[in-house]
Amino acid sequence: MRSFVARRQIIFAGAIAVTALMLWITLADVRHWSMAANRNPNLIHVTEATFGENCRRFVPPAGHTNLVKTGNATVVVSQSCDNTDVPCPFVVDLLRLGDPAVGCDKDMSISWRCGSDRTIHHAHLSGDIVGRVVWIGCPAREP
Amino acid sequence: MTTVELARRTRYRLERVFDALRDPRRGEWIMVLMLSCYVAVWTLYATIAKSGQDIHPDMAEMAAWSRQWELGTPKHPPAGSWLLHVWFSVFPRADWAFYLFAMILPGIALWICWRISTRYLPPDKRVVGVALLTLVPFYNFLALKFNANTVLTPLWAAATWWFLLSFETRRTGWAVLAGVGGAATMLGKYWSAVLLAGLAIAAVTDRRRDSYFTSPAPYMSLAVATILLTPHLDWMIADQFAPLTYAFEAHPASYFTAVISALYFIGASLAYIAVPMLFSAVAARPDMAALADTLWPREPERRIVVIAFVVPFAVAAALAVLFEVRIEALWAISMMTLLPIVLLSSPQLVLPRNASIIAVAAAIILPLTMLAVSPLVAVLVHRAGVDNYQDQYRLVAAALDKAWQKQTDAPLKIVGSYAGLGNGAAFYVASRPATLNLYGPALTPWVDDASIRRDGMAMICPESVYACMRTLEGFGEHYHAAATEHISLASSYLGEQGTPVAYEIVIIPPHAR
Repeated sequence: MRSFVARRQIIFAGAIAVTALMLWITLADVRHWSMAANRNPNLIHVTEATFGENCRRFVPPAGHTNLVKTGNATVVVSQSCDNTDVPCPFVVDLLRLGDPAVGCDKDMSISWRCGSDRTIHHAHLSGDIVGRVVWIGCPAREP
Repeated sequence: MTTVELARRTRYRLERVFDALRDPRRGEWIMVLMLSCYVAVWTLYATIAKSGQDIHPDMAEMAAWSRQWELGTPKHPPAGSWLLHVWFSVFPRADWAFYLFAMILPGIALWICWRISTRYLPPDKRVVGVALLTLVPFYNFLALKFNANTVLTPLWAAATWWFLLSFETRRTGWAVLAGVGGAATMLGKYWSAVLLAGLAIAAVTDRRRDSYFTSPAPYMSLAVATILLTPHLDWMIADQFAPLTYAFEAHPASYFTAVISALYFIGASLAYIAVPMLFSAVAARPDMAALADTLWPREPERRIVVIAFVVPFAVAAALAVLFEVRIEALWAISMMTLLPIVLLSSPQLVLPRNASIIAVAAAIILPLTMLAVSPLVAVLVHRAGVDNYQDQYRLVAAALDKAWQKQTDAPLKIVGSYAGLGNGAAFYVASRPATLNLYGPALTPWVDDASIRRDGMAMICPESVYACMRTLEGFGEHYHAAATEHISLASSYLGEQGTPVAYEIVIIPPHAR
């Protein structure tokens, strides 16, 4: 019986230790994260990227579905351009973006911020854009 | 000497090898020696068979990540790049050294499998088990292409070994090592979550679970793993979960394609281990009772192994469908450590001595045969051509160095291109430059605006790749490039010329405006 109680105590102590550690990590990271945004005023922060917004009402050929959604390219553009102060050329590549509206000439729009500045900048490409490059950078101007 | 006599002598020698490996006194050292030879022969095979090409883009990417000592990379956690960093601080940056490193990983995994099986298999089945694993492509052909998947092979093996020992003995040392192993696997690739899920489910479903969970062992393992993962977790949060996002977003699928990929994953995994499965079926001819005992053993010691082996496959398939992601068959590369125990541990399954010797013979003959045909493989690959300009990285590196030195005496510190070409060329530049991914600078976070302006950069693109050329021009204009060169490169192997490729090189000198 005594051994059973001792074991339970060890388990309880272990659980407390792990929970405390996780809490400490979380707090440290929240602090780290909240400070990170102010470090470099020229860091790019992608806020939204959409591929094919102009095709939202397009009816694709039979067997295809219109998958256009606002922000459908945010993750892909973020992977290429987020948190860098180097001018970022985003190449419109169907392999990476997928084709959300087969048969429609899609446009590409990207919005981003610079460092802790809340101003949103925009870049837009339309027409035959596959393989073309959208430049985003901070301070916001095309290289 | 007649053929019959040669066959008799060969058989005699193989029997001696088999008996030596079974011998409890000599077996341990002989296995280490055999595995060392295995690693050496496959390294030599790769060095010869791939002598007409340069390192694979995945390996080049790992090498680019390993240049910096970071707590994570843009795509994966850091264990692979850490190990490579240590390796290349001792060994030269040469193809043979890279292949040797790549082969040591499965070599260690095979040794761990040998050690784990001590508890579950009699000596003859231990030998056969390791011999059969060497016939699985995960431990040779596919292991030669070092990447975030292959680094898991020894890490999963170690984590599984230490977990099983911790579960069985509940000793502090094994519990700590199980935690170290668990953390190491997660630092290899987040895919390891499926292994940890498998081990956790194996522990929870075992009838000895009360003894385990009322002991300090699992909590010690958990605490050690948490502490070891803390720096990486901290890095990941600060980096806005980039590798985690990559893990989910790099392989998107619809519900239907996710289901197909999960089924394909299971089917292809079975195909990869077809040789060991067929061998045990043909050699041992198990009856229904033996099959049932193999699939669902009565003894808890064996059953936990079956669960720890099978559950990661089931969890992987379930996660693919749940999160609608495509999983690749190659990701099963690290999941085979327990296969020999699952296949052979049933006492009702008897392996004839002849069959065991055939397994050992196959394990010895396969690498030697591949070594013998490696020059032919090299020629055939060169004639067929390779993707991603993989036969030109060395030439591109030399061309970049030459163009750079025309402009400045400073060392070349940054190479810019798209991922495959840039990483590949950078591996062969003597000054060990960092890389800038022209398609996505965030994917190479070690290069920033200040370092480009301070150190300059040499950029290169194949002229036929329109997007690369546009980025090259954009960067050249932005950073006031000093020179542009147009060159044509063609690889040559044993006098055979490859297809020439036209490139443009742009040089941004140090301290550009």
